[in-house]
Order: sequence, then structure tokens, then C-alpha cells
Amino acid sequence: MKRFALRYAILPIALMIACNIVYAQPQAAIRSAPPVTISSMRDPVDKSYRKMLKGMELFEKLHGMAPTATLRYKLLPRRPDTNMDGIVLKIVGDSITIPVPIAPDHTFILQRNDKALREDAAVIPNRKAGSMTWRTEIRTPGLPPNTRRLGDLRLECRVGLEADLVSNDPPLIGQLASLVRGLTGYCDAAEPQYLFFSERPLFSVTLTAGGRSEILSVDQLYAGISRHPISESELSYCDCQVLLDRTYFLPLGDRSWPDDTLVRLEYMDDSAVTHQSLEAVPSAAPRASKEAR
Amino acid sequence: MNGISRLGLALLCCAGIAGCAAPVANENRAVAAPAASQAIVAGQSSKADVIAALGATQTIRFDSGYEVWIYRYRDEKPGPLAQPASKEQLAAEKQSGNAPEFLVLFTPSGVVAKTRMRPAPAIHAGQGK
Repeated sequence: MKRFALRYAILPIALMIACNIVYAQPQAAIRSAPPVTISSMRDPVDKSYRKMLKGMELFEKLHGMAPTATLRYKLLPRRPDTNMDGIVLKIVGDSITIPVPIAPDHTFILQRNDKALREDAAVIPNRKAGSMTWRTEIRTPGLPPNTRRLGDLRLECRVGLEADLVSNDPPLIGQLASLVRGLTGYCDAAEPQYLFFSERPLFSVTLTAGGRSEILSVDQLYAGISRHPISESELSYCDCQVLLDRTYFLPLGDRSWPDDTLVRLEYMDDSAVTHQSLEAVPSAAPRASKEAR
Repeated sequence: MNGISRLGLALLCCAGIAGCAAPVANENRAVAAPAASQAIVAGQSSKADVIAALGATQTIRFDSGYEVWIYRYRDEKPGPLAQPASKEQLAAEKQSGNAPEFLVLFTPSGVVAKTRMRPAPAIHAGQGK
């Protein structure tokens, strides 16, 4: 009985922490990673190579959610003055350094290297902690322009959490939050507060599946600030800090929307909306797309 | 309510504590749908025009200079449903996430770029599961 009571006494605190975790990237992450030698950058915005490979393994395991999609990791700016040009990314272990090519859209893939795994290497860009954030990018090829597929995005959430791309400042809080996320199946919640980022500032997001179509509430855009306004100073703890107008939530756990649901993004600088073009596409069949690779 | 549902509910509740921020002003203003759709012309209407027609409302201002103004509206059908929602109705609908919306996007120069209406979503079998 005592154990039961203790469990529920801790729960609210852990949940509050978890919410912050999902929103925020570390301002100045302190990790227990093995010592590495970085001559050009102190306090870099690094991630665990081991965890990112675990994310890739989960992607393979759940590939059925996005059968024709590919996985890439992506770097995004977190500060107004972050220079996203010329980023140099490396896998750095005790005795191994592997350069990682970055595409012009700031995405990259990781190769498996057993030595780097054994050395619990870190994935390190030449940018300081808090200057960038990380996400997965899972895209089914051939979707219509400005369109994503819900199954891809469901998988982005799962892989992103598995790879520990979204985390908070203090290690203890991060560990607690990871525990809670693991217990709850966060991405399967009806409305998880997992931030997705669009290519450009958003005005509207519409879900379409079969004959059903629904525009998401503005409360699902812009990190939900229309519903929960918070002071500007708190924005610095959100990894949406400079991407606020590009953020949206999705009803990932609402299974009345199938994985093949199309998620149409209407941007602020778009001209007229063309819902008809979506209705003509019953599934994620390959088509020319400027967004899909 | 099972454990997972309880946890999910708690997560959603605490999201209010953890959310991000941006300048947001005022509460939503309720408008009748026909008035909202007819009073504004994209590419022409100014902020003053929109305030004159619909009143001030909740506003999100972005660093880019764009602004989103958020109105809650009632059904477009003639009759009582075309009337503005009461504060109580708005609060209940907003809380449920099902409030019909009328959004106005302003360019940095202060002219309406576009608008959109979002009807209250229909409840779908299996929704939320």
C-alpha cells in the first residue's frame, strides 16, 4: 500500500517534468558521456550516438507504419543568431572520430560503427549547446506538395523519443521524464504535446482520410499558446523558440485517423488553398513533390 | 479510467504548465459567422477595418511581423445559431478543443493576408482511441 501511495505521490511531479522535457531542448546539457576532445567547440549541442542508433533500430522495427519512408535526422535552429550554414558534424568517441555529411536541408544519416558504439560516442556538431535542436524526419516519397503522412509523423515521435532528441536541462529530470515517457507510451496519447516543425510559418493544418477532413484548431498550432499563454521569458526553455510559427501538434494517438491520413500544411505565404487536390489523392501514392525527397 | 488514460490526462493537464510562449493578447471574441466572412477582404482590409467590423480579440504576434487574430464563431445557419456565442459557451468549447474558429492572418504591413474558418469537428466513431 505504501508503495502504491508513493508511486502516485511522485507521479504528478514526474509528469510535470515530462511535459517540460517534451517541449525543451537543453540550454546547457550536462551529460555523463565519456570524455572527448573537442578543440574547436566547448559545450557543444551533442547527442548520444548509442541512443540515436537505438532510434534507427526502432524505425526498422516499426517500419510498417511508414513502409516506403526513409529516416533522417535533422538539425534545426534554436536561437535567432544560430548560423545553420557550414555545420560540421562528427561522431566522436575516445579513440574514433567519424565525419557525418549534412545535406543542404540540414538532415543527415548515421552509419553504424561498432567501435563508436563500444566507446559510447557522442554526435557533435560545431555549435554550442542551446543553439540548435534535433528531430527525426521520416518522409514517404511522392506525397503532394506541402503534405505529410500521419503514419510518418507518428513514427517521427516514437523514434525521436527513443533517440532522446528531445530532452531537458538537468540529468535527473531528464531521466525521470524518460522513465515516465517509457511507461506511458507518450506518442500514443490522443494529443501528445510533441512539437512538429513545418518548413515555413504555418497558417493551417488539415487532416484528410478517405472522405473525412478536419482542420486542426489553432490551439494545435504555435505550440498551443492560444490555449496556454506563457510569458516570453519562458519561451527560451522551448526548443520552438525561433520556430514558434512553424510548430504544430497532431492527434497521434487518435486511431480514428489511419496512418495513411494526409496532413496538409497551409503556410502563411501560400496563395489560395487547394483542398480539391487533396481529395483527389486517396492514399500516399507516389507523385511529384517539392517537399518529399 | 485505466492507468494509461489517467496518465494521459495528467500529461495534457500539465502541458499548460510546460507550454511555450509568445505575445498573446486579450481573450477570444465571439462573432457571428456571416459577419466574420463578409466583413474582411484579403489584400485590402486593415487592422482598423477588422476591429471596426468584428472587434478586438486574442492576437498572436510573431517575430516575423505576421499576426494571427483568433475569433470564435457560431454556425453559419440562419437563426439563433448565427448569434455570437456566450462567454460560457466559448469557455466550454475552447476547453473541449471543439470551438469553431475564424482566423485572420495579417502581413507585417498590417493588411489581411488570408482568413480561414474552422467548423467544430464532427465526432467520429473510435475517435480518441
